[in-house]
Amino acid sequence: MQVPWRAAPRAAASSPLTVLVAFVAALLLSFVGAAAVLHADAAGSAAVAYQAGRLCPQTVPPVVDGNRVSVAEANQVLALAREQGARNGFATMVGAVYSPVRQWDFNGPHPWSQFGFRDGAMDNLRVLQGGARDGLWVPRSIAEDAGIKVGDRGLGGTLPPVTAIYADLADPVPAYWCSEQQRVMPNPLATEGATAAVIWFPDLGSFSAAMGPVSANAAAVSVRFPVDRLPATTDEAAALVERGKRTVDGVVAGLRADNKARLVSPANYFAKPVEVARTASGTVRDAVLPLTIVSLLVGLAGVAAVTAQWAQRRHAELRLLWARGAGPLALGARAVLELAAPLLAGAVAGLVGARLVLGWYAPSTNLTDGTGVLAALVAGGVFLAAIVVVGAVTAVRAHRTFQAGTVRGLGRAWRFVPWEVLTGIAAYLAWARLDSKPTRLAFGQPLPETADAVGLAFPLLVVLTVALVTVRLARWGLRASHRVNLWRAPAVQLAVRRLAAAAGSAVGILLVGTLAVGTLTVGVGVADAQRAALDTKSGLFVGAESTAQIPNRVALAGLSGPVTEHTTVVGVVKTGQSVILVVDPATFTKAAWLGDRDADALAAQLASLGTTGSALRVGDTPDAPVTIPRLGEVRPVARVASFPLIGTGRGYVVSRAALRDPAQVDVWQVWSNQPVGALIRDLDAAGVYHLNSRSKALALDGLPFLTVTWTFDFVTTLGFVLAVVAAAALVLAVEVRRRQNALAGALATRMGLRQRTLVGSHLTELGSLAGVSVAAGSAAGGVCAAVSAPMLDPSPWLRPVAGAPDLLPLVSTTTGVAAAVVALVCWAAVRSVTTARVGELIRG
Amino acid sequence: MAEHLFDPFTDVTVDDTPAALYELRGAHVEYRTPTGAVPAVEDVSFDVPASGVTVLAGPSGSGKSTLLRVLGLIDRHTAGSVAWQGRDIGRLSHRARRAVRRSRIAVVFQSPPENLIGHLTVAGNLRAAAQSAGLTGADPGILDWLGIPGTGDWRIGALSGGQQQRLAFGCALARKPAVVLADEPTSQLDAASAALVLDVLTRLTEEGVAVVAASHDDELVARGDRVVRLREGRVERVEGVDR
Repeated sequence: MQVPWRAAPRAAASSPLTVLVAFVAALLLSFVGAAAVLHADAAGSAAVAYQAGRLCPQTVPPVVDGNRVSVAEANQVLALAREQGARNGFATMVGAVYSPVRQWDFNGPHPWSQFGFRDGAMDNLRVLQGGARDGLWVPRSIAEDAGIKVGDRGLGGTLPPVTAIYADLADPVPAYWCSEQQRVMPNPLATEGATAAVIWFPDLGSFSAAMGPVSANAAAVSVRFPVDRLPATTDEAAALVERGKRTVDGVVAGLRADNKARLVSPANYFAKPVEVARTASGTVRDAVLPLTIVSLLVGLAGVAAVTAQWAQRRHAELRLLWARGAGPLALGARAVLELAAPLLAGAVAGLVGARLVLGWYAPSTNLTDGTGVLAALVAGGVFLAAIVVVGAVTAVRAHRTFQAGTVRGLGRAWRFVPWEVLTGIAAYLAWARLDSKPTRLAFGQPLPETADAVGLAFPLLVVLTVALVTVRLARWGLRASHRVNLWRAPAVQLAVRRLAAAAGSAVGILLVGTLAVGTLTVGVGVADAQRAALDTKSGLFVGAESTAQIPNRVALAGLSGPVTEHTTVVGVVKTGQSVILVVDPATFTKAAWLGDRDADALAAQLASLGTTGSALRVGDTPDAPVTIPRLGEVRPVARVASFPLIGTGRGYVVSRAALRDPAQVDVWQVWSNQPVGALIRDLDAAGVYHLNSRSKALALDGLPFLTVTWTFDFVTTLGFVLAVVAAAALVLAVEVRRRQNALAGALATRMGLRQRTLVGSHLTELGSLAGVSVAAGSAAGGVCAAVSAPMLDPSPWLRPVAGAPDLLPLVSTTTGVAAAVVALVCWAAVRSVTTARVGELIRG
Repeated sequence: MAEHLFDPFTDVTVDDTPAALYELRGAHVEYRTPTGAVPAVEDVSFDVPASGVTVLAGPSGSGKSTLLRVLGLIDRHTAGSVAWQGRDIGRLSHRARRAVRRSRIAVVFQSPPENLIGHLTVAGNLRAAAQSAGLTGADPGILDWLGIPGTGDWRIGALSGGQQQRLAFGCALARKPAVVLADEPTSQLDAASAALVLDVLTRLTEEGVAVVAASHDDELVARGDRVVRLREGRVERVEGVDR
């Protein structure tokens, strides 16, 4: 290799700014490419975690349940499951057998109860009395109702003695019991004898011996395979599902050999979530792909600009080498050898950065095996693309400059391609796809599991179209500006001339700036709108942060203690067509989920209902007195569009004081502004029995919303990266022309140009670029977010539909940052003029 | 007679060198501008011998540099014929032109720093120049020959303008070319430095290298074995044809 090529890497040190810019360009390029890969995979992991969080941990792995089996058959199922589980890597198995629910004899009393054994049950109960593990453990409710004491023996003394009284399991049950909640917690609303608390045997052998003869074929068996760590990624989840499938298939095959396969119903509840998580990951990937590609193209254009700048700086050397016989390709290789090191360093830094700050931009930090390698391959591909761009730009430039004798070429032809029309058509097609989505839940139509990738691209394509249109208009405007005489405002005239003289970089900054602000705005706007929509829908759906049903007698007597500090008691009456809420005006607004509703105004409105049967009507209920069964007549005095729990459906809200007979209310609930754990804790502390607890956080399957949110969170990240690129481009555009500007400015000030005019011209020049970018980007992003947020709502039939977000804070911040960047760059430009030594500048 | 395809690697040898290195016959050169073609050189005819100093003299805008670029196979003439060692170079491919430039022609530009690679040392520049012509290295005595001994490890910036320009000719010599084309080689130098450069130029011819220089420097014109006077793109007269 000849000396100039061999020494090229060291030559980079002679232009640190070029090295720095190449490094940063590669860093951003690599970051964007790698982050897109990591983010899409992290979305899958987040979807897995979200769905695992909605399931009982014990039902994430496979489950085997069997009803109407004999105790012997239950034992057979347990033995088979233990064998198959061990064979397929499930180190732990929790098996359980239950006798039928009956009024089992306990030396006279016949409480509704059931007997059971479950691996580890006694480790997960709170003992109130006794505690020896060699006898029966009886729940307090049964012990109190039937007068059972420690030492008693049931079924005519054939059962082991009672050795402990334990506290009844309460809703929500601990994790160990979550898969058994329906069986081990009596449901007071169920038919008598359908459910009952469990009297636990100390071991399977004693259970089998005692219950086998008396259970006939009415026993039940359940098998769980709890895992130490729930799957964190789609691959882990898929592997768990696959192992589970082999396990339950093995159990069923073993039973089938004895013609007993019908005894059990195996289930793999996590199989569908894995599929959905993969779909969500793919949706996010597909949705961010267009903007990622655009961002990469912008980055590569930046690399091309850096290369052009480098070629300009190295023009003499390139001409010398060319005059000595080097061809364009060799000169391209010369550029590559000099810029490869900073580009490689940047690409590595971008890859490492994308991994290190994954938690900042991605919904999860758990990645599927191989994703890191894939991200590294993408970063490597981006690096190679950058290298190709460097080589090609230099080679083409050398060919045009030295061989063809012209610098005109493809660049001019590309300007005539109507890019904005193409992206506009793509945006229209995406909009048509969104618009065709049903807004009502039709019978037989499946609920969406994730968002639509093509539809998600709509706002981005609109922003891209607006950015391209802005650039087109700016180019035309700058071309036409040659005919404009604005010398009445010299600062403006100078600014326009400078912009027109550097039209290429000006429109480039405008494109990136508009794209950056637009994507930031639309990203934040849509993501916030979907978050708010999920929050609002969940809040209206549940009514409060958490709720629980309480006995009527407790509700009528009123709560006491700490629980009253964050709760209100609400009566619910459902008729065929509407829901009637009975509220306590004094405490309702404190505990209910109100969203952006004015709490004081609502409190006053509820208080005004008084004791006369006045009601708020909700939704499209008729504005006329109606008679509610068991509650009497209510007279609407005001209307609200929506109300907690009723949502946007039909209903009435009446004051509790207006009820003639509160005992007629079907269900009483306690609503809290605290998480469900705190509500349950306080209810337990107050000794209030409760059931059917609900939490706003888990009320709805938010995955489709989250998919949209994750997508636009990444769009925001890309917007941020583009904003950095735009700001850097603005700085570089001034820095590259610093000498030229300094000379022109210094000469002009010596000829009488006032300092104020000089500053004004730079402010106008840079401010117009930043201002147009912010204005066009914010307008496009804001309008787009407002239009697309309701269209991107995955569940538009669940009202209210996602609405236009409040983007004022974001736009204010964007404007402030843009103004700060302009002021900084302007200061640098003016300073280079005021400190310039004209003699040195002219001498060059 | 079958047409012989020009191969600069095999056809261009010193043994084949005819008496005239270049033969220009009715050569035209035009530049394309946004307002149309502008003639820079019109109907120029003269020969450049394979030895001695040929000076293209004339005022600014007379076409000296344009002609030099045509002779250096940097620009193409638009009409007429320009022959290099008896063969028309007008239809040579880019690759073939590069091959000729690489092996047979050295160019010295007007500005001294533009003839050197700034981030290499003096010795590095000489080696780079030699390697560019397919040679392994430069003659170690070149620096003595140029009058700048012991500067091999110096950075280019440490040399004066005159030293840089002499080094530029040294680099040209290191490439062992058939001809050195120099564009206003003394225009940016003081008189003393210019005189040293002219000495180098003369000594180049003594090494058997033909020199073609574009200049309006009277000192340089005076040293020309052949002087082609140009005015407004045309040859006014050729002096020293019979010398």
